[in-house]
Amino acid sequence: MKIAVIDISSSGLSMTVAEAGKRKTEICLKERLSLCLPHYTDGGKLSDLGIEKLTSGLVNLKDKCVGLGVEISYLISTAALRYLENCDQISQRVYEATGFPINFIDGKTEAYCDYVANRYYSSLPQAVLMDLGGKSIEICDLSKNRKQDMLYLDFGLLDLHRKFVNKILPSDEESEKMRKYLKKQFSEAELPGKGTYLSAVVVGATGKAVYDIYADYTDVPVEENGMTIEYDKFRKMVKHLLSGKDRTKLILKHAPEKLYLIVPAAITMKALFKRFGVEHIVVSDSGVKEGYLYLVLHTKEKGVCYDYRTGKVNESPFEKEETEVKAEARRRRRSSRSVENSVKADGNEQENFVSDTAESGQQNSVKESEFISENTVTDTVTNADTESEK
Amino acid sequence: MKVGILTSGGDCSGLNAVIRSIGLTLMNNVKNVEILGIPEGYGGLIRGESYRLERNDFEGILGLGGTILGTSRQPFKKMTVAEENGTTRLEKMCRNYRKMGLDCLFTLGGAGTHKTAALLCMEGCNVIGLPKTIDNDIFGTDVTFGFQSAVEVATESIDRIYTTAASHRRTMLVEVMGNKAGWLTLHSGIASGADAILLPEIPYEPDELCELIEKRQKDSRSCTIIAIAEGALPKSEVKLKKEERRFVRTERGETTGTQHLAEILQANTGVETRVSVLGYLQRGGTPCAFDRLLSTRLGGFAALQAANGNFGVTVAVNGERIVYNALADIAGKYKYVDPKGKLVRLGRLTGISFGD
Repeated sequence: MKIAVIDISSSGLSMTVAEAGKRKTEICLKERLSLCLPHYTDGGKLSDLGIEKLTSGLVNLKDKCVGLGVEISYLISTAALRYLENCDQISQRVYEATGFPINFIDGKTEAYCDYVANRYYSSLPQAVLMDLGGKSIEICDLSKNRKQDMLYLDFGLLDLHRKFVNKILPSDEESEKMRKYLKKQFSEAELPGKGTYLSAVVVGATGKAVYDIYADYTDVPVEENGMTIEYDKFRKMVKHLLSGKDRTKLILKHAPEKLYLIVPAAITMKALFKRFGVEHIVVSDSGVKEGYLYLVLHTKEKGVCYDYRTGKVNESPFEKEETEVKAEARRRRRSSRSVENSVKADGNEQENFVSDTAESGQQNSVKESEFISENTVTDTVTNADTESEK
Repeated sequence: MKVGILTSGGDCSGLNAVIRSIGLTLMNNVKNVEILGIPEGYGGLIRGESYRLERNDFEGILGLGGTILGTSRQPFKKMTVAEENGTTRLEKMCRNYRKMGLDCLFTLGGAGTHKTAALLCMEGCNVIGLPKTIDNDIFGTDVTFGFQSAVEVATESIDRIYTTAASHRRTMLVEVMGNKAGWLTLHSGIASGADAILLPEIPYEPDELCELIEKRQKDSRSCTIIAIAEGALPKSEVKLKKEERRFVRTERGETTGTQHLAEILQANTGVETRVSVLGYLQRGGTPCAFDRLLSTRLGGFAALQAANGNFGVTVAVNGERIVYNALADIAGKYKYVDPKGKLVRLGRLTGISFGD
């Protein structure tokens, strides 16, 4: 079954199309359309022209889905739309133009989607994940896997820009104020300090755009499956973005639609890297869309989708029989195997040690590993699995 | 309010109509407006040159070709390269923008001009772009001013070439401007009833064209007209890098592939084959009525955006309406002919060969 997840962010529309098979899910296409929403806001509202551009972009993506034979699609939006005063009007207009209902995702769910799409990186030592959005910043400790453990800061790069920057790119003074503000906010949010994390995983389109600029500036070839950042070089790049002669050209080359966000993003990333004192930084190509896809496929998120076959809006069609029933069967198989083993072991103390408590612990860890091995939603994860198998 | 206007890149019909529309709309609707003309595009801004435009300057220019401000090409890639005294052209432009005391700068130009406009905008200048090009390849607008006039010229030229080709029973290759995008060739080719249209977006196979010519010969057709974009490529050259392609062509003493194709066609079909390069004819001259109207609409709309303080945008045509796009959304992007698009499909339905 071909499924698409389309995300509306403050700088554009992005879409991931995946083929969900019985055993694994593979990404077929990733598409992005620029739409610099701040340019089309009037006060706290998205203007008529902005709504029109949004719907026309969505119609464009819908046409692509039709061409690709997509069967269902989910339209999601994070804080980018939620904070607009005419959010309801926008939802209505989007629905009228496309038939798509919007699934609004709160900060914790967004962070959880990021986490799910990038849980492979939990194998990194003391890893923290960060997603820098226009209206919120998600931070997840990759060693914690519960939704309630996800952290998000209720301000984003657009807020930073609005609060501190007069023109488009910040002046030295404005950057300094931004840095101080971030430091204060991080402390108030009680983000851990040095020593808690050794590795950072940067996700999201803005993080990727900052990486592209970093790669260009430092002359590092962009490797889709191994995008790493060296902190010292990153620091120099940030300095260049604040005062370098060709900074505008660099931004324009890599992320023109994010021209409001790039410098605040770079400053925020640097501030977070510094606060956490991370030594190893990687950039992931998978984020909210891939995570959301995984969650709906595994019935952990109940979204509403557009069904191309009927032209109607439906509840998510993935029922427990698709996943949980399988998991249940697996649990049963495992439990019967462990009984067999314990019988075979016949007196072996170690095997007989499968007490109720230990068994539930074992189940948890097995469940966890299945979750990872089944997570072939992203290329990175697929490759990573192959690597680990090797 | 003090505004500057500059025209940058290759000229086209309709530039003066836009200048006039901006000037008159502002003068008639905004109090104490001062309008500066910046000569020779970004070159004038780099040098800090400008002069005041008065109402009289806008008289009688609606149907005038070219640009009263003059234009020049200033490559985008050189904008942030440090020159004498370590300053860049971008820095000079920003400095002069401030020295002139501008509240807004109107930049009339194509894709490259818009990229530079986005740079200026990012450095804090208030910029409004207007989409000028005969290529019609600016992203985010259905049509650019200057395009329709060029289509008229190219169509009429192909019509004229048809009569001479038919008289001599020749194959004629008419080379139309368009290096990366084939809009002009596609529109003029369809409008003039060309037998084949070769576009940069659809690589061609010379053998296909030979077959077409031979078939037409058999069917006793008097001639074959091929409208070819200057950037059209044979399939064999698609994989070559730009530099390699340029080298191959330089070796042959050509700048485009048209002459070489003509030689192949003549050698393989035995039909006398000639090339006619329309060149600068397509840029020059008076704008057609469509472009005069479009230019006036775009210029007026841009002036109103300035009056409303909506900067960092470029005006655009969306269906029947004039709208704006954020420069950030369109800078560095091009609009190409969709090989599976409606117009190409229509061409195929009417029997036009695309050589593929």
